[in-house]
Amino acid sequence: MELTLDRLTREFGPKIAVDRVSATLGPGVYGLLGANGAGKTTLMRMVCGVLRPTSGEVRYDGAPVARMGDEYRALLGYLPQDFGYYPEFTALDFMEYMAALKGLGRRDARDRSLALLERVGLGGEERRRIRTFSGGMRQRLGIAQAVLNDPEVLVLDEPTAGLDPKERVRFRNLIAGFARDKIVLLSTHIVSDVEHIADEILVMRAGSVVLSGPPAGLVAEAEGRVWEAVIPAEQAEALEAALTVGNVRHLEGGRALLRYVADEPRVPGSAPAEPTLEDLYLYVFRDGAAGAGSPRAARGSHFKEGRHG
Amino acid sequence: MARLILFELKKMLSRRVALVANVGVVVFLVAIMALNVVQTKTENARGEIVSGTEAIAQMRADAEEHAGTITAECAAADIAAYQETVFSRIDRDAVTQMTGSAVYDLMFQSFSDEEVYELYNPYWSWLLRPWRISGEEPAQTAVRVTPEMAADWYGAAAGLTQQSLDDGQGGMWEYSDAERAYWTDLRSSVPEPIEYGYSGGWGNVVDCAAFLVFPILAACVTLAPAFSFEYSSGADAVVLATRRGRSTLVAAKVVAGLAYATALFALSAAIIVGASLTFYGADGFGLSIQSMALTSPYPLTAGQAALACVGLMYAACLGFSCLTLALSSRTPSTLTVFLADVALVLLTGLVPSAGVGVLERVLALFPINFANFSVLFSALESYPLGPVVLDLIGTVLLVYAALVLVSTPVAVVSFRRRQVA
Repeated sequence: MELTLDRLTREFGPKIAVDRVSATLGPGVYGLLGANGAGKTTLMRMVCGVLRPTSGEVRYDGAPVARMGDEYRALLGYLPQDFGYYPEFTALDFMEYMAALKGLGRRDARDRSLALLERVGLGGEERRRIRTFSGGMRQRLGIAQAVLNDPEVLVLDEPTAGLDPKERVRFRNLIAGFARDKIVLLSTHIVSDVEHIADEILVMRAGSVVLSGPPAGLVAEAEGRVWEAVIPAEQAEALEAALTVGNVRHLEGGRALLRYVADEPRVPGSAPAEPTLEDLYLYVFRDGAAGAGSPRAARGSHFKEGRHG
Repeated sequence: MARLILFELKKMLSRRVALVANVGVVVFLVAIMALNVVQTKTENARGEIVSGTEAIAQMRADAEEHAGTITAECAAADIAAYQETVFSRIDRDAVTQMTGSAVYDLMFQSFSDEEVYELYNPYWSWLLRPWRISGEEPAQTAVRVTPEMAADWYGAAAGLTQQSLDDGQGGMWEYSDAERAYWTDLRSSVPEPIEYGYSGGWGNVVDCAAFLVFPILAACVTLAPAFSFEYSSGADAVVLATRRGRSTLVAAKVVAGLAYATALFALSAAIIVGASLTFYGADGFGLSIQSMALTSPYPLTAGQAALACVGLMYAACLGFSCLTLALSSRTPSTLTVFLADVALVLLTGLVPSAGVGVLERVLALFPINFANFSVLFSALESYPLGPVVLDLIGTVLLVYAALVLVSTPVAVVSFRRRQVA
């Protein structure tokens, strides 16, 4: 089981949303991190075959998915961002409808639908119309439909959007449960969603994957670039504007503990701190760049080029 | 596939707008057909205005009084009898100098109310139709009809088609030789002798067929979001990534759409046809269409004419349903689709042809215009396509069949190729 992204590119007019992204994904959980507009959703749409690449291709076990058609889609589970639903359908209607679209038999569809609704915490709500659901409930319904066909490739675009902290934890456990022997690609701009469950992280910026690797390996990239300094509390606001600040914790006696990322210490008295994935994320996006697409002349630079170039 | 069709039907019909449109149309049709019966009015032999079922019974009795096979001899004898009755009490020569309303008054001065009622039986104006000039009273027409003319009643009736061809729809259209030959041949195929009698139920079906534009519009309202809602809600991303999303689903949407449109149309047609035949009577199915309008060149019966009219409306219903699906597959805006449908289905009834023959022929293809006895069966609307001539019935069938055959693949291909950007 192997999903290959081969120089995937998608242009919208003069904008390049995804720029020659290549990756080979085996079974495991892949966290796609990036700011809004980095190209995550466009990349995922191409992986799911709902958006044709301008160039490049997606292959599943060596076969181009565009040619596999229904055969590939039968292996796929997809929760898009801004998941669309039919307001007058009940949760069970929707699940059974999706089951019919995924080719499940009638009885199997009913059994799996009820079991999955139970599993995502919607047991007892199956006869309620979706339009009466909260955002979090809809999102859980979306997750349930994505795994109805027990997919080999599960693509989840911003699956934690709209979930409260408790639901986020439940979601992480759900994904961990579903992910066994599957290729799971999930995008988020919230680092904590993926740092504990992802086997590998892909960081996107301006349409390109600028960094990839296991979370622990990536964190090491930020070694020596995370600093902490105790400052007078009244300076905190000014320093937040000037530096890439990860956290400000106010201490007793009018002082504050400032945590920031930078190549060199920028505040007197700074001491190196233990980096986290969030620090790395902040470091990668410290320029606040990564708009939705960029002219070809200004392609997103690779992390290492950014550091050394 | 069957389950997907059921889900698509549920999706379509569970929307509040669709519910209101469909239930509203059914209620409207029931109400309008009830009014159609209640509001029917006629005058009886005593000069009283009667309405509702009593009026219908009166009209039936009037028609049945002269029901039967109208042979040439019978027509000539009836005309002679009419002339003898009328001109026994009023001066034949004086009538030619009088206005229509003066003749009408004179009839009441010369005959009792019951006698006038009989002399104004629709049969007489129908029988004298081959020689009638617009605005004339039957007595005035009868003055000019000689026994020789009356003996050739069928020749005179066939001459109505030639008159219409010469008139060219009031100068609006110059018929080509091919068109003239088409209509002449069609007229000559009308079986003789004509059967005259009561066919009020079938006539009422044709008169009320235009109401079927409302179920067509309701079908358009219901089908407008079929694809566009998937786009606007973002559900397209979910369904297109499924195994059947780009294949069976599209077929299920089209089949569900057409099955629903057919069911709604059948229910609506059943209301119109059922109410007409229940209250006006189902008799007269086999009577000649010429017993309804002598100018018609069609070799049809009254019942066939009514069913043809409803059938053409069904063709339009399918055509507009497929067009709606095609438009819906091309845009995320349901409102845009709906407005296009309203413009084509309803507003075309408000556009005047302004005496332009080509425009008249284009407008005649829209259901609100062709669902009319005169336009469909008497107006000689022909469409010369090179050496081939099609009448309005054939052209309507051709146009809506083409609409179905073009729109359906457009809808299918557009959805299958949809890119979620």
